[in-house]
Amino acid sequence: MRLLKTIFVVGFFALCGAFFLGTGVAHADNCNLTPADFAEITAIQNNPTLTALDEVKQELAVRKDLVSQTIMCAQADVATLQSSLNAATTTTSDAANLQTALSGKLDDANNFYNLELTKLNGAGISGTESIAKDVLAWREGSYEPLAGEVNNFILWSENQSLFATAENRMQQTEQTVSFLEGASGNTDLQNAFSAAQTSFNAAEAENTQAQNALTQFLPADQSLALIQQSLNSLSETYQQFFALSTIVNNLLSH
Amino acid sequence: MKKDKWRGRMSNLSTDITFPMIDGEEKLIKQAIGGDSSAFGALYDRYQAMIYRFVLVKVGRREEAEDITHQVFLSAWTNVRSYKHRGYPFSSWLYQIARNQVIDHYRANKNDISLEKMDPEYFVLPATAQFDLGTKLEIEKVRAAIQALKPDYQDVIIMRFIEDVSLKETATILKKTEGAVKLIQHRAIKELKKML
Amino acid sequence: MNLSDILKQFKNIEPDPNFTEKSKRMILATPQTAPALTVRGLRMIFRVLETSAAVVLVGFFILLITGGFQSSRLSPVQYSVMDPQGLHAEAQAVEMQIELANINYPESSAAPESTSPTAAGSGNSATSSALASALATSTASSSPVANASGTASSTATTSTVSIDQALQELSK
Repeated sequence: MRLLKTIFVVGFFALCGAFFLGTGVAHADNCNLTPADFAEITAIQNNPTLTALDEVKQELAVRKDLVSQTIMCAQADVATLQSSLNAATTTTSDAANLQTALSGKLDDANNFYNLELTKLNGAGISGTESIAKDVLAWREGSYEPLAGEVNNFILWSENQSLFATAENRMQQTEQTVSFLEGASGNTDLQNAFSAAQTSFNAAEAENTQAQNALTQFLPADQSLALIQQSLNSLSETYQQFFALSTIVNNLLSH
Repeated sequence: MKKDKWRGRMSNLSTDITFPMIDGEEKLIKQAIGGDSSAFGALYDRYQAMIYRFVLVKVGRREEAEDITHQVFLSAWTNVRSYKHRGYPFSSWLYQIARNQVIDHYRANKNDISLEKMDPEYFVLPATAQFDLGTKLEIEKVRAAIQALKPDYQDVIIMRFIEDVSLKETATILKKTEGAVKLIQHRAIKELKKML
Repeated sequence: MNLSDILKQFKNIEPDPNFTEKSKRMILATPQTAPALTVRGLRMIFRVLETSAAVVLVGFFILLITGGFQSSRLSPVQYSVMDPQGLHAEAQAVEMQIELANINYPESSAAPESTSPTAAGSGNSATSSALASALATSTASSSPVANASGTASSTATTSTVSIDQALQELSK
């Protein structure tokens, strides 16, 4: 898959250049947690030279530091996602409203993390465990679905320029087909054009369904499936354009 | 250039052999030569699995087989307008391209670690996911043995015994006489049995 | 199974359908190489251009005479060829976006998380076993006491830990 991977990675990183503006650089150092960092806890617990009190103090300090670093890592992710969301272009008021709503939700996520950080101040060891558990549960139940929605919105908003281009292509093709059909009496043209039109109509309908799914904050996998479907239909439309192009070129060469 | 190498080889094929064509293939080929992408797409659907198997048996790794298969059809598509339809099945041309792509692949990777030193797991075929474990192991054992044969022997085994290509077409693809192919076939099977 | 039976089984090997679909799309979206121009080819091209120019001009004047011409929308050039280069570029842009949708966004809960600030997190499926395995290795190197999970692992101790892995470990 090396060749395909190369093509996809080049395109992927080209698009990533627009997505990931690196505003989380300030937090970058905090996001390199390694197993060794956590091994420190076990090492403290197993150190026979420490008194019980010292052990608790040291373990608490390490735990607080790790929880704090982990939450700040999570905040860096939110900041990055927020940047990408803000960079997405919207051409309709509905899309702009959705962008604003999602941005608000990301702000809420950041506030949640800030609140959990403040709780660390007076926490003991079991308190830090409880905070970590709460944050984990909240991420699974709330943040991950939100991140999915935001990513889907970004993807969908990018697709709109592809649809606009395809619509333009459809209009130009219609004029070409209309003229040539009149001049040549060739019915293959109209059939091929109808096929392209059908595919494009399906793509547009699926695109609208995807937007509705996003607006209604349906589960991320549902809106993603609709986005993917609309892109597949768009791809099919272009296959029909290629077929049309062949007919047109053959017609003109005879 | 790679493109010129296999074009030169193609031009040596005899023009007075006819083959039974799959229904509608001649029309599809002509349309594909004319630049019709859906016609080429139909040919792709027809032959892609066959070329993939050919390459996979020779190189062993799924990723490399996918890479090379993609290259074969990409070459075929970008150069189909130069294809001179002389009555052979389209598969003959594809096999030619595939053989050359595999040769090029080995040339490009000749400095890599030798086969003997590779972890056997490297060559496990994920493509055999649908078989039971016993069959998978047998298949991999035979595949590894085929890969150890000389390239011509590999080609004959794959075409004649896996893909049921006719003796005549195999001879055309390999640019050998039918008698030579029969001899290679006999020797290849003998050597394969010795290894297994 | 004898050799002949095993060889027959090879016929059942099929490529990954996802690969097949993607490969076909990419290939058909690639512009074809034009065959090398010969003198005969050049003559044919000029003939085609003459014919298509004539067709275009005739159509242009017919439309002009019949009043069907809208200067803002029609161009005689549009009739001649359907801009194959542009078509291919547009099709490839769509294919690229499909790949982005497929690669970037696999099953929603299965995407691995990264602690790097350049990744937008969307997955949460890290289990504690990977971290425990990594800890087993690092713990073993610093203390003779066996770790709780009891699993041996050859995971490198330099691997980073994801946010969810870290939270799981800290919530124990």
